[in-house]
Amino acid sequence: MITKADLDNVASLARLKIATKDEKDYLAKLSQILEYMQDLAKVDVKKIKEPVDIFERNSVVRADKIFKPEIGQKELLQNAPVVEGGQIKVKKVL
Amino acid sequence: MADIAKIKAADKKIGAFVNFKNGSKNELFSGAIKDNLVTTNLPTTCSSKMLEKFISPYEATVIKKLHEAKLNWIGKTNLDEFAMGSSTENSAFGVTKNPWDLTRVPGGSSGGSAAAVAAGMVDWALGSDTGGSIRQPAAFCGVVGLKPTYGRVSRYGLIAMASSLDQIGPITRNVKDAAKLLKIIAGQDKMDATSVDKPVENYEKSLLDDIKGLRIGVPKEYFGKGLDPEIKKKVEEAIKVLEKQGVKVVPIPLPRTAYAISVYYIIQPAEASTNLSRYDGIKYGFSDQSGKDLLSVYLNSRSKGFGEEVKRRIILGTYVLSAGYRDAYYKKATKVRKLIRQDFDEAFKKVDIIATPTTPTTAFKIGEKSENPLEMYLSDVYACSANLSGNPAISVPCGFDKNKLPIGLQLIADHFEERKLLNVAYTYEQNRGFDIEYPKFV
Repeated sequence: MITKADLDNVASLARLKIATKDEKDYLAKLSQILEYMQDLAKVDVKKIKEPVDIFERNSVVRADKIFKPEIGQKELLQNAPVVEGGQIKVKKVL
Repeated sequence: MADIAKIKAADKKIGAFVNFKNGSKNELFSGAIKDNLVTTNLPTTCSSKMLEKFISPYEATVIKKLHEAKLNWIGKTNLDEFAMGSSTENSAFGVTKNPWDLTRVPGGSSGGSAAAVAAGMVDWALGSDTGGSIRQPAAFCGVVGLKPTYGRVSRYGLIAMASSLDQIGPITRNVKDAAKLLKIIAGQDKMDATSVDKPVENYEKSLLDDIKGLRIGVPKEYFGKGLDPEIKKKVEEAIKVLEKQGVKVVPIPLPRTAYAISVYYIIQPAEASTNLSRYDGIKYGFSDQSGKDLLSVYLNSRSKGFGEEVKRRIILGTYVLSAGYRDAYYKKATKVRKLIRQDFDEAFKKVDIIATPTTPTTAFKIGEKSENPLEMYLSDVYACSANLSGNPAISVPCGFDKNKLPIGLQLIADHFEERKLLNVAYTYEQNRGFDIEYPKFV
């Protein structure tokens, strides 16, 4: 059901590399799971309006006040692998 | 247990802990924290190589609340990587073992928390439940596990897996302790917009309320094919114990039960695939800088930092959200999820509590299901509906099978009816006619 082309496309969207030796295993296991899900096709959902709201809540907006964060730049950067001059450094994009 | 040295020695056999707090003392009523709740004094690993060295700059709301209540905890417990699993075998830091039988799994994903409580290493633990991850391990380990209503406990500082399903809850040796813990951790929080402004009740005080006249719904869909006959018998006996206390047993339909696993394994990976996109090797977590450009940092960090099951679910989630498949899978699943919620809402017009088994089998052997993800997913068949609908649910031990493995009774209540849920669970526990001893694993 799920093809190698699908797997390549989805892996690329998800920024994951799938080793060639693992492709067969991924395809077999994902196909089994997706096959199981085919039973959903039988369920009549015509009465359910979109967008579907499970918890029936209104949008939550906090008071328009300045909210002082409890942590600052130093703490936010403490786990970054490459930091330079107080900023996160990344490799070239192009 | 008397001291930390003894707990550490016991843990060599069980493997429940990922990290212990330095210089921690075992005070009266000590606990443990699932390692997907962020703490500033210990790493929060999510049992993943991706976060092996991650020290959070902030604390989860529930951790602050424990501190305010002066509750001591001694360490962080093992889980399936990023809480994806039902056996605690998918951890980058080793397999946790079931204290009742060391060749079997403790369940998952809060397997470390359940095993630590069952083995008597701690009196309580916090877990998280996205599709049964508190209740299924509680059932497998012979302890109490409570998943509160979605929105009852702040998720701020719980590393997000599936945000519309995740909920933090306690794992304890008895219902009274679960009530005590819930009162401490519950409540609205400005840092979690999905937490709900409802008063936190005194759950402990109402444990002794009379349950006479309450209606207990029994859905036949939870007692059919696939259920171990020994579990069926014990759960039916448990319902009879409640009947003797004056409740009225009412058969109810939950007709969409059969679709819960399909719906769950579309919505959960879909949400997880987006939540886990933040692990890119740039801001925090495992980073492989060996490639030439930014894209190779993303690809190499994610491919090497995540384990197999996590990658499989990210792929599955990305697939069900991708162009061409989104309507057939994700959209359809959200609509069937609404029908599942409606089934529960209908049922709670007629009954106060729903009683079911927590799991279809008792604890399975280590390795038994690890090569068949679908079979593993099905071990949450009775637990995951309450996550899809947002209802509170608890697992209480209701006996043992012929292999001396614990069995769990699941009770489910209407939204924000934790008081009633704990009241019925406590009444059952006090009248079931046996105590849960400590397993003799040493």
